[in-house]
Amino acid sequence: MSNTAADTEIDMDTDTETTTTTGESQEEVKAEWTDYDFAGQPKLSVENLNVWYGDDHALKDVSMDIPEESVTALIGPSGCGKSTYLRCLNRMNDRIKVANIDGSVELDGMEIYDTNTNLVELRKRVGMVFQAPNPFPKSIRDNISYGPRKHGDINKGFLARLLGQDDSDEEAELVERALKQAALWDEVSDRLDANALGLSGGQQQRLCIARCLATDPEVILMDEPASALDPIATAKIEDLIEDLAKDYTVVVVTHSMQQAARISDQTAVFLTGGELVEYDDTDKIFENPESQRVEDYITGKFG
Amino acid sequence: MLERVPATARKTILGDDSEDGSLLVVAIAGLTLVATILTFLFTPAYALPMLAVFVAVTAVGWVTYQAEIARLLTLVATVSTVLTVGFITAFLFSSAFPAFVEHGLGLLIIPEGQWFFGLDAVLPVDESYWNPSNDVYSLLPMMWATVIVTVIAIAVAGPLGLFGALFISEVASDRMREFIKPGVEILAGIPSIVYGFIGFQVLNGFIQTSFLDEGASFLIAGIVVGIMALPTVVSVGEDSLSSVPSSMKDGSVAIGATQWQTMKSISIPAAFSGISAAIILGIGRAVGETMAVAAIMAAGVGLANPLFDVFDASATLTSLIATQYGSASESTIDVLFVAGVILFVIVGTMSVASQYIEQQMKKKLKGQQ
Repeated sequence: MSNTAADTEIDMDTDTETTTTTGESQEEVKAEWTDYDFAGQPKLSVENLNVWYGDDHALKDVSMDIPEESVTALIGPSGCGKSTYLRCLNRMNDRIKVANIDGSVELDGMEIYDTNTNLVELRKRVGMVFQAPNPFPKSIRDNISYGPRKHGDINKGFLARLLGQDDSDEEAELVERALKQAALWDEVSDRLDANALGLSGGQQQRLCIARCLATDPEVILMDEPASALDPIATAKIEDLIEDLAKDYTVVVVTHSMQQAARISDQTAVFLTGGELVEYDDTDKIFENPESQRVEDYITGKFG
Repeated sequence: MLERVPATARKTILGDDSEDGSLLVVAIAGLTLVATILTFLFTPAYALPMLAVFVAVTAVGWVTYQAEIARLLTLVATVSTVLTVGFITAFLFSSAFPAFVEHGLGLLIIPEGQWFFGLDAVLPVDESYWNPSNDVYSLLPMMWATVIVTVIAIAVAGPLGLFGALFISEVASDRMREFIKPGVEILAGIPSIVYGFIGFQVLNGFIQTSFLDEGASFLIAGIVVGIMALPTVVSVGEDSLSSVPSSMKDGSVAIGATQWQTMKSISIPAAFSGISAAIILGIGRAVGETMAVAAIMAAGVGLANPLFDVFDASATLTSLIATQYGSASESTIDVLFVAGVILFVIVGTMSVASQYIEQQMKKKLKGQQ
């Protein structure tokens, strides 16, 4: 996209030989894309990340930088480790008791797998949206202000009123901002006290995005955010993601290659066995991938 | 319309994919069963041979038309279960009826001739409520004793059960849960007389030597019953906490809430109805608990004085039945049946309430996978 100069350089250097040779080695392919420079500073920088679930080696030696204020798509067949990778970026894999994680993930140059990392702080900065919408069984307003309330940024309720620290006005502002950002405000502004479970699937998912935005994160991780939604709701979510990339670093796992092509700036292809096979500008991946395996996958011959 | 009735009946008994000819075998099996029951009622001596005939017919049927005979057997099993429970209920209520007629509301309130008007008149705690030889029957003290024991048991089992369930479902590692959950369920199966005996021997002795001179009391009975209800509360409560979708908890953690905040704000509210159902279920069982209470405080049939004196002692509805029926006269037995009816209603209501609450919870979480 913005990086045409680098793009052509790589094309000139390597093109014909690697893409047409079926017997090329992984190392050669990897060498081609690992020295690639993306636009913008790396927000997240992952080095040699390995994940085991018990004896199952789910993610093998993945290294990739994720540039800020852009959309990075992770694609690949089921079980290829893309969701596992995503969940490593805000340490949600810590919640899986059998998971064993090794390697380094840096957020703005700060190691998140340090033993004294503050997980609350980390997850405030790196928010997450899940595959199936998972609103809390509370009102729409309470869903949005849940994060800030838990972080102590907003005080509400009987005790707060007693101490004269009621932040209801701040809360109202926050709820309006987050819902507007998630393009949900117009649909729900008249029923903020209604239970969030009464919303439609697409609205629930946008509510979850709004809930995530309410804590003012820097990075937003999305695990197949539209896979449970109908085409219209999907289109809304996709528009939203493109919009969010102006201010946030967005990482999206998706099953749909068309979706990755539509919304992302760069795409990482994971293939069976938990390997990151190729990571490059989205246009490059879809039009002229280095690896034969990636080309096979994208053209539907594999996976 | 009318000719469809036999067809429907046939479908119910044989199923809609029955083989031709199965009707005969099933009919014979059914008839022999009816014959067996009738012989049992009128000439019990011949019931056993008739039963043998029924078993033989069923065995033959099992070989020839297994599906249809199996269907008949399930129907028979269900009908007999429902009938048994129905007859017991009917018997209980009809046995209690004479006492109701004879003593009227006096059974439930204050003995005849001892009415007090206005609540400021303190209940006559010194009066005799239960004196079969003088024909004085009131179940009020036992009902009150049941209430006190139940309240203490809830105070013990509620918080402990909730926190125990929280630990197992949210804090404990998988390995720990593998041991604790079955362990807790085994505790629920220990015969109640064991709990009662331990309560009487250990707890009562300890309290007597360490704090008070008083003997067996509501407090100790309540604590022991609470402990007995605890495994049920923990186990059912844990089930409802685990049934809160993990995606919901993940959502909370991913937003930067701590584990405790997630438990407090997501898990417990979402599982609230399930947890209350667990407590009601556990206590419902405890209310019906006889042997532990009887072992701890067999004696006493008077109201606590003052009413909230938990160090007093009196029989509860269940322990009254257990301790009295052996030596009771006919009219006393009738009154004991009334105690049975009251218990039946209380426990039945609790169990219906707990099922209703659990259904509400399922409805609430529907659409959340």
